[in-house]
Amino acid sequence: MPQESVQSVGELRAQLSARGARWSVLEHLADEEPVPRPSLGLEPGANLTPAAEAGTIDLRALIGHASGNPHLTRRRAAHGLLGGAGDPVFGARPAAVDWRNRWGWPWITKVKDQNPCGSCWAFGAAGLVESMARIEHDVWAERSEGDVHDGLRFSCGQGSNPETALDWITANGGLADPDCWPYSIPPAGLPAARRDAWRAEYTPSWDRSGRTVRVTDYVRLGDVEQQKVWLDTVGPLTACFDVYDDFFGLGSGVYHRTSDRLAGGHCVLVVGYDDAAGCWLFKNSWGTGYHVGGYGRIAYGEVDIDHWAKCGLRGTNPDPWTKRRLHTGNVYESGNGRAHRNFELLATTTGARLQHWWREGDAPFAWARAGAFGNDASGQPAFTGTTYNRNMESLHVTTGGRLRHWYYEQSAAVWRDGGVFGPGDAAVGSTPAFIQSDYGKPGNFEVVVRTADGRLNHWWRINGAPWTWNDGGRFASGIAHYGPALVQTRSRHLDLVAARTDGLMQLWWRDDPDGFAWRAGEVFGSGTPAISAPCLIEGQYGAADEDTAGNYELCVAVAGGRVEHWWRGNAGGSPWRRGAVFGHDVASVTGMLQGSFGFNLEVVVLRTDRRLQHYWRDGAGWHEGPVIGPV
Amino acid sequence: MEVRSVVLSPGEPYELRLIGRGARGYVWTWQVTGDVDVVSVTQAAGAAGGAPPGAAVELSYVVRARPPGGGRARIRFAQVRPPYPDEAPYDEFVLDVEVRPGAGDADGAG
Repeated sequence: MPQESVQSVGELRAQLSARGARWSVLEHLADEEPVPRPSLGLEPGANLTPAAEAGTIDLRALIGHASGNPHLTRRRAAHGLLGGAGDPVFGARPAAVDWRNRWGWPWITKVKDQNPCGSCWAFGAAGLVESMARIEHDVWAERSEGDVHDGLRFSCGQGSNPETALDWITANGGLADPDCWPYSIPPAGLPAARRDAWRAEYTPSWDRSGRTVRVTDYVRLGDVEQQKVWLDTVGPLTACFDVYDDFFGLGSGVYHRTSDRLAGGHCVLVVGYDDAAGCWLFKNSWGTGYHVGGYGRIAYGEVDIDHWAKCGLRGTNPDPWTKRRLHTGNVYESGNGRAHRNFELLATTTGARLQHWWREGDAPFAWARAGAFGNDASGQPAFTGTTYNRNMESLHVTTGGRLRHWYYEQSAAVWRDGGVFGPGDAAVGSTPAFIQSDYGKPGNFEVVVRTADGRLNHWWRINGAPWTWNDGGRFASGIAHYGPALVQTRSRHLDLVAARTDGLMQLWWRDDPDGFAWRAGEVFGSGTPAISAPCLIEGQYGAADEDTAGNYELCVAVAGGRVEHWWRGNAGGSPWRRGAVFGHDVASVTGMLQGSFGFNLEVVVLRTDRRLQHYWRDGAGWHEGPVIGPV
Repeated sequence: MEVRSVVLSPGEPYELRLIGRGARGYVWTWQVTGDVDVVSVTQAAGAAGGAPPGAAVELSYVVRARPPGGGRARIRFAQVRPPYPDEAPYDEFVLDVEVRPGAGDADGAG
């Protein structure tokens, strides 16, 4: 080993030559570079906890309550973890867990590739956040490993561990999506000798606070039996182990070490276990070419995989950007509340004012009033959360046929008037469509409103100074009802559905590559005329993974005071189909969402008696919920 | 890509230390051309434990001149990910070895 007095590689080479040494300096180092002194052994304060130190934990204290995922609530009940009394039930867990598919749903994001950087620890942590957001909130939330890797100012070759990553994520407002800040690798052509030292300059988009899955805390589990219970009742775990050079050949089967040649330390996401085979199931981050499609199995206790504590998460809080396609109209699910799944509702009230309602995300799910504001609302507003620090944003048609924007500034806890704009002949009493698109960072606001002459008018605001609204032009004709039915697709164009004067519905889409022209699409309907504007979302049904578009879900009030539910399979290209007819005395559907309640669809309707009512759909069908209150 | 030349006597070892990136799925492979019988290559040992997960480690390889000597070989080391044969190697290194003619069997033969 070099003596401390030897500082440069050139000095060391000269010393080795003078002494007739039989080994060479690392071949890739230039003479002028300093002698590398890699960390051997964990440095003082290093953040990888031995399992023995983590020990056993009080699972009931941590997870002894209902989960947002009803399957997990049942699993926790089976383990005796709910209710706060009695001993946990041993032997309650299944012989195997595999989060790639449980209860007929996929829960794990696609296998990624860290190549060529030593960032397995960031991939393990990001995989944990992604899977727990999916499990707890029924939403795909692809995260960026680069956000934590570069936020920590680590170089490409720098190793670390998931605990360091999770500490940073916890302390820095969560983990952002790749469009906010991507995982990046050294530029092509950079010599190998310089790649490990390459570092990305961390400059996430300035709306990062509205684009992160927040994490309140993570849990270190040292006891193997508790790790399996956690996998059964909560979700995946990060794990670290030693890599020996036979590991690279692991395909199917359970890995047992057969080599003595250590190749380094590695971290993965454990997504299951199999007691019959005696192994953990893990998701690696070396692409799909390794093991079996990127997933492998390691025997319990092998290569020190049980020497270090494994890390789990609960209480994730997805951002409004992640959920932007999952709601429309005057209701959406925010991250507020203990379970981060409160419903926020905005509706008209006396004096043309707007009343903010909210529903706690835990039983008994009571609706409550919050503040009221405004004085010129002619119809129900569009209501959403945006990447502006998760502000609530509202837009309504005024009594004068214009559009008015309000926003709730989270940092000051106050509603602010965002000003009036728009055509002057917007259909009084209608609801505009209002979304944040991915044009720009923060994304533009996109608005479409029906005009008094039965056309549609697009407005947009570029989200930077001077914050002006722009008229995007008019299109279509013969529109009887239009409202909260605007979605930006994965290919970035805008889709909307409007009800025509003949009672049928029609899809319109904006052809962005061809001059941003709006084009008419398919016509559908049951023959029972629509009597109000359709509500449209892109849901999670049909979204097999984070890159696949979910089905369109549409609800519309029809003659006779009922609601028709329609859906279209976007991934498979299936046509519009009517799924169900439900409800009674419905004048219009004012809002719709798919939230953190087991993939349920939630609908708010305005009844003919001018009261709002909640309906929802679970696996058993549509259910009539409580009357929320008057508008 | 660095090219290094060494001259060895039959039986004489030459130790190479290369950067291992096993935590990223990379392995060092090598191919001998020329007088392929004059050298042998073995991995000497694994890395020392304790490096943070994901970090590069130091790996040691021994090139040994084989008796009776008298030849030249080129050893091309390439750091690759085996499941991705179409990927360019992360790193490469070439060692040209000249093995002097020997007087007979030498220590360390085999």
